[in-house]
This record gives sequence, structure tokens and C-alpha cells, in this order.
Amino acid sequence: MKYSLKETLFNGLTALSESSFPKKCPSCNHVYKSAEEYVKLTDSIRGKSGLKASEDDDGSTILELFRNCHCGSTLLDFFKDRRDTDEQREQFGQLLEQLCEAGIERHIARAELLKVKQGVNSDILNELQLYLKK
Amino acid sequence: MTIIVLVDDEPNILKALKRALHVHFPNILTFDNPETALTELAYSHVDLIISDYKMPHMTGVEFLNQFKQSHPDCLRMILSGQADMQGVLDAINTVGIYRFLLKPWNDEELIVNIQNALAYNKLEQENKELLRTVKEQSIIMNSQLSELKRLERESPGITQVDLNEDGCIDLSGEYLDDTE
Repeated sequence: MKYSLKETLFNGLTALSESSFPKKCPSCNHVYKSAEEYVKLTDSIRGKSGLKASEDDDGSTILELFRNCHCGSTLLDFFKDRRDTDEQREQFGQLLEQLCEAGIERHIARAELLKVKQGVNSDILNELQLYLKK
Repeated sequence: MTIIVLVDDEPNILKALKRALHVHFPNILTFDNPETALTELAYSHVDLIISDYKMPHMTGVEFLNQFKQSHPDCLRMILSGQADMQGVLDAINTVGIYRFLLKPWNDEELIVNIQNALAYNKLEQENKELLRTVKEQSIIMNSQLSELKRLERESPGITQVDLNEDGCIDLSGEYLDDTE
């Protein structure tokens, strides 16, 4: 069985929230019953995949999938990154709590942890002599 | 406190934008309906507004045009999944938008665009403030000048009188002139 590039690219995406589907377009009220329909019945954005990686509040990676509805409105749904494990999320959460307890504001602590996760040096964490395993 | 407003009919886009921006810009208000945004923000200060282009009740251009009436100093941007040339032209020519950005956006580019927009707006406001001060001072100076002219007309030479350190009329020069 042959898969199209579109099917291969989006195959296995898991909606982040089970309540995401059915998804209704706020402009024309068209309902997409599943993630599969969302991909198949919408248009790519200017010929591109419309996939964008983003970081959730717990440090886990989210895949954002932008698609254009036939009415022209741009829709977005969130999917899990299969490379991101529960263990990594838990570790990130624990470190975030430790930094908050050490007196660092939550949004700063989160930003610094994300920096380290992306391989960027964090002066604040270095000062606290915290080294994270990548 | 910098207030940024995001308007998009797709709630997930608002969530994603807020997630990308909130570390740098903690005061973000979101609206999934442009009409609600117009009503609720009518009397609120807003520094920057970013609107979707295609929305069910009105386009981003129509919305920003209305918003501009109540918030002329607020910077306006459009974030759209459609690179519709007519829409871009309308946005620039009718609403005077600062940037027309495309979805999906790059987080870093979006943050830099917002920072530049806010810096630009701050400079614009400072320039307006300076211009206002110059105009006010010019009015005061003109009124003082016309008063001096009136005095000179009524008593010629009165504006040329020298005053000493105590504010008294200094006649020493006149005395010297007489003895010569």
C-alpha cells in the first residue's frame, strides 16, 4: 500500500487533547471529525507542511499543525511529539519546582530550563551550580 | 506596563501565541471575537494589537480600522495564513499597519518584531510629546513677545532698560553719558 507524502508526514500524529476532535471551523462551521479528516480535508498553508514545534509549559515539545480550511480561515491543532517521553516531562517538572523553591520566578525558571534543554547556556542556572543532563 | 492584544477567531492560535509570547510580554489580552474586543477595549490603554485577517464577522482590516478610531496611537499588526495581496494592500493603505506577518510564525522573529514595534511606538510617542512641548512654548514666547512690543510702543526704550543684581533699574550708564 502506497502512502502519499502528506499521509506519511502526518501519519501517527496524536492529538494532544482527546477533546480536540471533532473540531469546528469558527468561520464556516465545518466540522472535522478526526485528526485524519483535519489533515485530508484542509489545505496546506502556501504549499508548506504547516508544522511548527513549540514548548509546552511543562517543557514538553508540542507539534502545532496549521491548516487552511476551505473557507480560507487558518486552523490550528496541537499534537504530541512522539520523541518526548513522560520521564522527560516529569524531570522538567521536578526541576522547575526546585528552581521555584530556590526563589526564582516561575516564568524565568521555565525559560532558563528551556534554554538548557535547547543546548543554550543559562547564566542563572550556572550561578546556582545546576547542571542538567541533556 | 505594556499591553498587547491578540485577536483571532481560532482559540488554539490565541493559545499558541500566548505560549510563545508570555515570557517576554506578560500582559497579553486575547479575544476570539473582534466585536467583543472593540466593546471591551473601548476605554482601555493598548500598546500593540495583533489581529487575524480572515474572521467570521469582519476582516482584520475592518476590525483594525474601527479599533484605530478609538486607539489612534496603538500599533497594529496582522497575522494571516493567507498571503492575499489585496488584503495586504488594504491593510497597509487603509489601516496603516506596522507589519503583515504570516502563519505559522517563527517565535523568535515574532518576538523581535514586537520588540521593534514597541520601541518604534515609544519613539513616536516621545516625538509627539516633544512637538507638543515645542508648540506650547512657542505660544508662550509669542505672547511674551507681543507684550514686549506693546510696552515698547507705549514707552519707547522701556524694554532696553538695564537692571542690576537686585532687580533695580541701573542708571549708571546714563549718568556716565551725561558727564561726558
